[in-house]
Amino acid sequence: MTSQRRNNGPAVEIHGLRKTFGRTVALDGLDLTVAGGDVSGFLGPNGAGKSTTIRVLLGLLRAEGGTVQLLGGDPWRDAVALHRRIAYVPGDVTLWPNLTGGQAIGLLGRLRGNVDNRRRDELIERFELDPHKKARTYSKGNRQKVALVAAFSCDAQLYILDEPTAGLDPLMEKAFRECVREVAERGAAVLLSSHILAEVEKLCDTVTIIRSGRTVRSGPLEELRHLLRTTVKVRTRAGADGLRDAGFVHDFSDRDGTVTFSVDRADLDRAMDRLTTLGIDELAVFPASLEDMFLREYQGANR
Amino acid sequence: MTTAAIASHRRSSNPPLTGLGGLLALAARRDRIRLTVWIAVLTLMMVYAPNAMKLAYPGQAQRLARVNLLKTPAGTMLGGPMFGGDQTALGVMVANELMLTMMVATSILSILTVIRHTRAEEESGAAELVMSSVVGRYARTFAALALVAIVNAVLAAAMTLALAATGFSLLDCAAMCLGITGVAMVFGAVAAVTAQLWRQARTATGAAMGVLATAAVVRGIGDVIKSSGSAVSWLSPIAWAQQMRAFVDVRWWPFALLVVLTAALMALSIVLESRRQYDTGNLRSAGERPGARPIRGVFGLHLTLQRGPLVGWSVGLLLSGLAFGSMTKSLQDAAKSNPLLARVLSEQGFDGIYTTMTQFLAAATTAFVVSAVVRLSRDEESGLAEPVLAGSVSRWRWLLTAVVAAVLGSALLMLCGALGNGVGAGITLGEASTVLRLTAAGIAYVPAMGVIAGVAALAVALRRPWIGWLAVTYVVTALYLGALLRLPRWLIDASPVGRTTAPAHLPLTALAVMSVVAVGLSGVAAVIYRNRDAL
Repeated sequence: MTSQRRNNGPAVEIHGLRKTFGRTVALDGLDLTVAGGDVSGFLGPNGAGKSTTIRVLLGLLRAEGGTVQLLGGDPWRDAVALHRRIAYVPGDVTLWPNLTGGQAIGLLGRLRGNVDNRRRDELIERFELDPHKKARTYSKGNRQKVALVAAFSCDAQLYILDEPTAGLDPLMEKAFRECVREVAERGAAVLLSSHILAEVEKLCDTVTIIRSGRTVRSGPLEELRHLLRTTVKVRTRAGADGLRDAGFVHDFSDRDGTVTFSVDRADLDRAMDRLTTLGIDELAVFPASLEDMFLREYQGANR
Repeated sequence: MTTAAIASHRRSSNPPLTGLGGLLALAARRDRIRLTVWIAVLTLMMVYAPNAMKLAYPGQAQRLARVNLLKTPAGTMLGGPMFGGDQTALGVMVANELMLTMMVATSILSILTVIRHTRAEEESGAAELVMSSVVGRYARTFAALALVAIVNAVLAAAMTLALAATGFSLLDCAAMCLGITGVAMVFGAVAAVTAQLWRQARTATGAAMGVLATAAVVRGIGDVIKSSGSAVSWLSPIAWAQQMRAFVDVRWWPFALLVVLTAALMALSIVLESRRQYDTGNLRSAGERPGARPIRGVFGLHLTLQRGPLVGWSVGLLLSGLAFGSMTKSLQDAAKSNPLLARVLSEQGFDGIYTTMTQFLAAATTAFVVSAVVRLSRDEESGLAEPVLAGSVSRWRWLLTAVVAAVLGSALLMLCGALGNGVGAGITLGEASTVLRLTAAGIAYVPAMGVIAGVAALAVALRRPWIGWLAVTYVVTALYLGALLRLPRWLIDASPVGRTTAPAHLPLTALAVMSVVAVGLSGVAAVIYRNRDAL
């Protein structure tokens, strides 16, 4: 990620994006920034507006309000020129049933320009795809591979990936992660919309979380993690029930003497002091995961 | 239905029709608007046509002229058999002129409905959910057939009443309408069979439509051989309905033939369905193609995607052209005993007839043009357009290349149809020059195809694919039923196919105007398409 950044300006810059479909408000003032060379996670529950945002970025839908910049251009007006510099993998890949996988990969590459044939063949190998089969005989995972090979075999400045690993097996997910790391290494930006939080945690530098068409949280993954509570699982010699009423302890539960609670980072010292006075038998501390963050943003919230 | 198959399933406690009721309700619910419109239009046709004919041919002399025209081979191909008796009675004329159109229309409705609820569902994957629930093996097919049966029963009743309201005897009306819907049931069952044979809905639909076209042509040739029906006529189920002789001398046993054939085809569909697995056809289609040629770009993609249908259509048009052209000789013979025809021929030679024949071929080709362009709407819905438009492809290029590809395809089709027409006429008359002249005339229809493609592009841009099909319906109606339905002159004249009168004349101005209109429509469509949301 550090070497040869070609593009220092942001790859994607969206401010206050609005889009409605009839009476449905799909996007309601969404903000999203992807810096050049960054891998950016894009999270949100079903129907939050992730795919709509991506379609606006692709110039398929027209923004109704706010500003959208893609690689310094207007995605609606300059769609054709911009698409030469981006690659896209949809979440639900539809292919022409009568064309073979190889034909589809070739066509999609040619429509975009700048394909690297050697890299394409290498990717077909890596994803273990049989390109001679007609697309209608492919499973969902194989169709996904066609789109991934077509996207990663071109030398793009921005890769837009909409839930790209749905349908892939763990081995292929690993191959996918390698591809993302490689393109990030050479300085391309990646926008990765995903539900698989472990994948986002492994790959992304920054994360944007949206809900009901609005950005609720965004920033570097590490920074966001700091905002969250740490989970503590502990067995103490003296009864730990007194902790239940301590102001800094949250989500307290007690099962057969093993106590689990969560605590803000700032209060971690105080919690440890209390535990030391009780006498620690067993202790496990879990840093906040993306899943905790995700669940906390959405728990009880009406989508 | 084969009771044996059902009984054997009973024994294995796996009733093959479980869930039929629920599926039928679902199908009826999904199609409620579509079917209502079809039924209403077809019923109205039965009210309108007899009255229009009464107005168009008020006196005995006009009627006699009309009947004589219909006795010509071309008239017989597009009408029906003549059984003698009082041929100028209004009922006889209605049965003669309207039955074939109504049979073709209702049969198309049956075919589309059956495929839509059987093979198309399997292809889209929606059937997988259905089959995973408590549903018998044949329930989906028979729910579709039951829906078609209900539609045809409703149609038979409604059309009979509509026709009888004009003042005909109820029995004759019932015979005519039951014959029509009986044929529609046969072709619904044909579609149930083709749905088992091919894996793709388009192929299954095309095959069933091909059977329908063949049946229509065979009936026509049979009746040309002998005007009350020859042995060849009886090979086609369409003839069976006409041979019920509604309004002349009603007889019911040919209707039994229709019922038996329908039942036999349904049984065949059961046998075929029991021999295949989910989402496969009885006829294997190759899944691998190692040497597949790369596709060069958007235009190449359009050409590749329309290649299959294009091959089928060219064969169909070539054969229809041959059939049309080969009737020229019998037309010449008919003129000897038909004074009206003799007068027409001495005035215009065969050119008027050649023009009409070429126009019929062109009208058929408009359906190909619209289906090729309107495919973009389906691609948008299915998500196929997304990867293309996410590439470096402008909306203009995507839409306009589709229009150009469709027009090129139509040029090839017109060439095939006109070549068939020319060869048929040239051989029967022994004039080699006719071949070249008629083939060249086919190309004159390309600007008209451009106009239709432009309308279809507009339909895609406005997200209203039915506008394209409306254009096809209009062209066919204006050509085929325009005079009969007493449509206003300007409406008939607005048809681009009707405007092209090659080979009789070469209306250069009209061709130029149509080319401009075609470009204009496509341009407007592209502007609208560029400025709307895709998907």
